[in-house]
Amino acid sequence: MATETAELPAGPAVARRSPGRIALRRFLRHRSAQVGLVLLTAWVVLAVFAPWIAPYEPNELVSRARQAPSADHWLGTDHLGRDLLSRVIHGARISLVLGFVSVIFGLVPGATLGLVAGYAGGRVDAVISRLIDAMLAFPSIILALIIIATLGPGILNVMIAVGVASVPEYARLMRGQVLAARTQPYVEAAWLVGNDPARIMGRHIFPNANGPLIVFATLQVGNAILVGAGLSFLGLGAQPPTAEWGLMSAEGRDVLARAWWISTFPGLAILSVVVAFNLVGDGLRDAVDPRTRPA
Amino acid sequence: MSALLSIRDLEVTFATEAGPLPAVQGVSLDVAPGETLAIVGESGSGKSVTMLSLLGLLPAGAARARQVVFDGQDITALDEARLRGLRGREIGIVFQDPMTSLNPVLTVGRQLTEMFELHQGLSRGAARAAAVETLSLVGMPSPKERMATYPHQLSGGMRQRAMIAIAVACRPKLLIADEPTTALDVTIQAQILDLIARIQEELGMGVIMISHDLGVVAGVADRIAVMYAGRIVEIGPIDAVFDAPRMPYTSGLLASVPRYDLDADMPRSIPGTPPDPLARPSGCAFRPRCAEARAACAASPPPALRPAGPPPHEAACILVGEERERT
Repeated sequence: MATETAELPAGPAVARRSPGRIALRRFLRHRSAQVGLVLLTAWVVLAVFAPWIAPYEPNELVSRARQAPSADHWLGTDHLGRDLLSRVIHGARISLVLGFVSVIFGLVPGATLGLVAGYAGGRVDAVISRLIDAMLAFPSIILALIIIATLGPGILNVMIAVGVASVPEYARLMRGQVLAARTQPYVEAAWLVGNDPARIMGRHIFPNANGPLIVFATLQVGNAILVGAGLSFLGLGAQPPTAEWGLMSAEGRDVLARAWWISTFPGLAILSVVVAFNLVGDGLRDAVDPRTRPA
Repeated sequence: MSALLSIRDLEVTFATEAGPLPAVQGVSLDVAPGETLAIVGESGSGKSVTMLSLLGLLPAGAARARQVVFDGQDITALDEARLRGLRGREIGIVFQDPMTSLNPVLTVGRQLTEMFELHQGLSRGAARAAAVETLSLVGMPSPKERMATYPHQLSGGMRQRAMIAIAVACRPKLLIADEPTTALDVTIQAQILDLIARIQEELGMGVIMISHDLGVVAGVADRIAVMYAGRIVEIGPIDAVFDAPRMPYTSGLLASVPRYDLDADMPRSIPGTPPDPLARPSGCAFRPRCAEARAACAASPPPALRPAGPPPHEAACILVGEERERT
């Protein structure tokens, strides 16, 4: 980065060009981020207004079972005769909530652990880091399965399990960022003008260390939705008759040859939401990472 | 007048893999209220470490001093929380590089108001008003508008002004300026030095100016302490030291400064390099590079300096004693 900076305009009109605003502008100009955002916005609108947009109630028996897509039922009907389109639209609510809530369950404790470990160093860091290493030794899906097995099936427990399983990854990422940020002269300077440790962590280190964390969390929303749907598919998450995409895919599994749509459309819904989050996450990463700055 | 800061026999030793590394050995100095003391020396001579130890910023156990009295209280006895209250409020500090020493994601205003909220418990609004006032004190043009700018939007000189504003925000009694102009253009250097001198006069602060540049300190300091290999080798009023240096190292430093006002030869450098702090020579550490060295220099370390009293001019050199005997 050049140390050269433009001289300020003489007048009072100084643009508020905060680093965040610069990144936001670059993000909004990012092609794949735009695609992801459009897709995501569409899903959020569908989820929020599901009762008004969906033609039927999600658990309403509207027709004969296993009807192929038609003008009456765009995506066909499922094995009990429920309208698949309505169920997919309602399913967006569960999946989006699950994605965000699981990420919060992972991000908040993970970032806190990483911040404390990276800042305190020494014995505190050693204890937290070994804990993180131990958790990372398990694939996160196995970790989530263990937690579900302990807590019992259910959608809330899926959120907890998926969240907790991702804690070590947030913690490790945060710790690395904090280690890099805390040796910066401005952190030493903050210390030298009398800030206490909490303020240094919260005010001076965290805002300079959270960029990669935000990107990772965004990508992780898609991942959480995928893992959550996977757990429901296995029967450990949402229980019938909930309109949940993973569960819906599982329900069509036995009749895949005769009624392919029952599993396919919920699967495509999962795919498109996960892709949307990945595109947005990639865009965010490019926007906050100075190395990928477009010419 | 009693000293604002008085350090006695400060020793700083870092534990390294190669053994204990003595960074500062037996440093004693006084700073009077309103006085500017310059500490000069080459890289690694211990000048910055001396100041960091004063602020309690060194690893635990590294620094030991017989006594460090600041404004009437012995700060070697203070716990971390008390020291924190001292830093920024009683002792302000200006760093070398204002680009990296300001937080890039916070506005100048935010970093400045923080000082008032932290140390004086002011409300947001009051802190803001005080911050604007401080920015105008340091000569920031249109201070109100500058509150909303980020460090990267400012030029180097303006950044250093912001840095100084933060340092003097709470009207400290002592300002430590660690190479405050090293990262700046020569023309800006002069402005910043003038600014520090003006604020010092307005607020009546004591100033410790750490520098490797004799030209910088010549214009602003009242007294000068020359450090070499972890010791103060010469200390005295600036004119006395510049006119009649008593220690060959000081003479060498002065001869190495390019002068345009004297019809002198080209600047001369001091031959050799500073000793490895892990293997300093016996006796006087400057001995291997000194043109006047003699056998006695190796035998015992040079006499310690008496730091107290009305500003005496002293040098830790065997020549000083001989001079006295001759006259």
